[in-house]
Amino acid sequence: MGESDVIQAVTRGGVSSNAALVSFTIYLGVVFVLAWLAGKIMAKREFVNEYFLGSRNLGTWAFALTFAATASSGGSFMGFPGLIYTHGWVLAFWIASYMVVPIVALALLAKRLNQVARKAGAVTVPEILRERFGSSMVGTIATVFLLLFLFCYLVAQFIAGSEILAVLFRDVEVFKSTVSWASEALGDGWWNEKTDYTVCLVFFAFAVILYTTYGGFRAVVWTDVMQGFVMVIGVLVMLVLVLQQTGGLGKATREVAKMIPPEKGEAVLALDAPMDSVVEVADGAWLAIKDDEGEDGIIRLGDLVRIPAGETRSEKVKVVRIITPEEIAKIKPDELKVPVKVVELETKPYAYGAGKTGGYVSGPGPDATKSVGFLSAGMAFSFFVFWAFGGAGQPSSMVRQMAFRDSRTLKNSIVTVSIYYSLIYFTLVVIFVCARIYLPGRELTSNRIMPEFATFLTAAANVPWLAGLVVAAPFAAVMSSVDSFLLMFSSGIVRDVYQKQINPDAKEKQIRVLTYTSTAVVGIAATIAALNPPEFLQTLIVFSTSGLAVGFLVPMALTIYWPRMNAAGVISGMSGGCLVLLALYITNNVVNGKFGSYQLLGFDSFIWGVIASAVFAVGGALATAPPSESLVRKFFHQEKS
Amino acid sequence: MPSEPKFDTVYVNARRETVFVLIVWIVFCVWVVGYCLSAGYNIDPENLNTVLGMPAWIFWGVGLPWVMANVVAIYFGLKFMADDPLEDPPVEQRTGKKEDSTEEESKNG
Repeated sequence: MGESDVIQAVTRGGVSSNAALVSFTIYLGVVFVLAWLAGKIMAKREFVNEYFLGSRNLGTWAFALTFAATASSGGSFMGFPGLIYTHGWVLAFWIASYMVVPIVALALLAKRLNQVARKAGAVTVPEILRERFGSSMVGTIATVFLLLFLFCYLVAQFIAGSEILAVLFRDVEVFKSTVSWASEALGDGWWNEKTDYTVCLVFFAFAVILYTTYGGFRAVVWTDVMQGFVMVIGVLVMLVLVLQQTGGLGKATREVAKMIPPEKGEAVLALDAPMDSVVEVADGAWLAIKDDEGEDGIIRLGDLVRIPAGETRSEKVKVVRIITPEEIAKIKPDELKVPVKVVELETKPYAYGAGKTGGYVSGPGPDATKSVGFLSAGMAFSFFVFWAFGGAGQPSSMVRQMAFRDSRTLKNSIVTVSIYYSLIYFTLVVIFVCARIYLPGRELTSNRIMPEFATFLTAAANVPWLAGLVVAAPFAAVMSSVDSFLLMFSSGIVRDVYQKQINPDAKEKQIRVLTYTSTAVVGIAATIAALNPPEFLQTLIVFSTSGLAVGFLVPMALTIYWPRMNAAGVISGMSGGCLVLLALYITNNVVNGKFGSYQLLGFDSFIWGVIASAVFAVGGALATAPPSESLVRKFFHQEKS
Repeated sequence: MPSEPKFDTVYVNARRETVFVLIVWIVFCVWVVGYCLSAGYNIDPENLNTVLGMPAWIFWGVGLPWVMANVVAIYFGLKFMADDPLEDPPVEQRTGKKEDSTEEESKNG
């Protein structure tokens, strides 16, 4: 259907600009230059070690920032700001464990892991296990676990990257014409639910697959370093802008303290009489309502609404109804070009915090579905464990821990990452608590609050070109995770499957071709899987992160610190932990009807998974024969000179 | 009878550092989780105290420990952690090809 057949009753107010597109394009250009330089260096080095580990030679800045940037993913810059926006100051407590993440994640395993990997000549995590125990079975099982969870994580990151682009570009003319062309070309189907998202996904996938495939680990590390700087600068710029805008944090906190959680629900939009054209009302439009007592109220649309030609009613649409009186008085409804009424409005109060002020400045934080509030005591403890030890147990961080040059690099990196995380995470809480004041009613699209608020702030400060840099921050976070995970995936296939199981005598050229091909194929597969994205981005990321940490943390710690550990211990620890985790997620599906972590006795599934992993790992090792003395000597004892 | 082989120095030091890190984690967990749960829940907005613009319980329960955690990380990184050598095995053992591991990494610091 052509544009002329549509009457737009309310159009969306644009805040992005072509300037944002220009600065973003420059950013992407630098990424490609770095990949090209890395590719040139690679041509002079031994392929496998260079492509997957950068020849084990990372210095402090490279190691610290690649570690920090990889750990800060789409979840940190999309899901986390969305949660701060939705639940308030309590998110500072939720994320507080990041104060000890650098010291725990870098000092728990790193030095010993690096040494064991060198002794084993390993370039992947499963390879360490294989060499440490002299068992190809343990390597294969670890590879299967790794690839399975990595794929979920990759898909979640592809979704996050595309959503960021969709927000950034949505009012750029070139983008709009591309979307309308693509909409015609793609036709209707599951692959084309939201054309703007699909276009961004294809663009994102193309960019990230290209530079990762070409440049390998070194390109990933160099771009991580740049992306690390972009992230911290982007966040700090936002902090300055937001504090200028609010007139101080104290004022903002007092304002947020007065807010009452909104109500979420559904409504139908109706016309007085049918029209010859389709009538559209943009998502995000503010519409005035009268409640049962005749009081004025206001709702915000979560989706684009279409009333077909010749009809008077739309389908049901998701809405947010504002409850705070000060906000109702402040928000002006959008002017309608055609008279559209809100009928059949049904909204539901929050399960915790409804009708009360103060929820956003206090624990446990308001929650739409959980009657105990957002952060119960058990969950607060769970997250304090999860961020620190879940981070330490990530195979992606283990790979980086195998790549630093020497102990001095590690020591300096602990300090660097500590300061870096302090600048990012606490600052994000401050920024997005304030976002509630300027962008009310975003509860249905809170995943998009980061790019939306960035573009709002830069437009308000009359520096729209800064939006490109600020929005590049979450995009950089996603890219720096995606590239690392893509590389881990292809190293799993090439090193752990092909080179170890299929063709141990493979020539460098064969390995090179297979590496490029597998990186590209995995990227394309993740793109296809991300075409129709699930609703709960954060949950998907948390599930994959938990799975990887439960599978690898305890088995790897015991592998490098406990001489008595053996292959059976690793296999039973991995399987036992992951099965318990999966069982708890399935239980949640059965009991609460949605995919998510089941909180047995109030604790997150991750805690139970780690406990199970530890019990099964130690039990499995003690119940079977000890490892061979020569292997224990090789990895635990001083070599005779 | 042959003498017991000595444990590798890196292994011994890494184990000692791991114990230190676990103690640090426990201390901060007790401080942060304990304080925030006791002082930061179900606050009456009329009696909300702020420090540096943030709710007081966030300052004492998250902000201050965060600063202290950085102090500990700096002490740990610069003083406590041993500067152990992590030498490579002979190159041929890994890849069969010679590589130069020390050259041209100036870009990465």
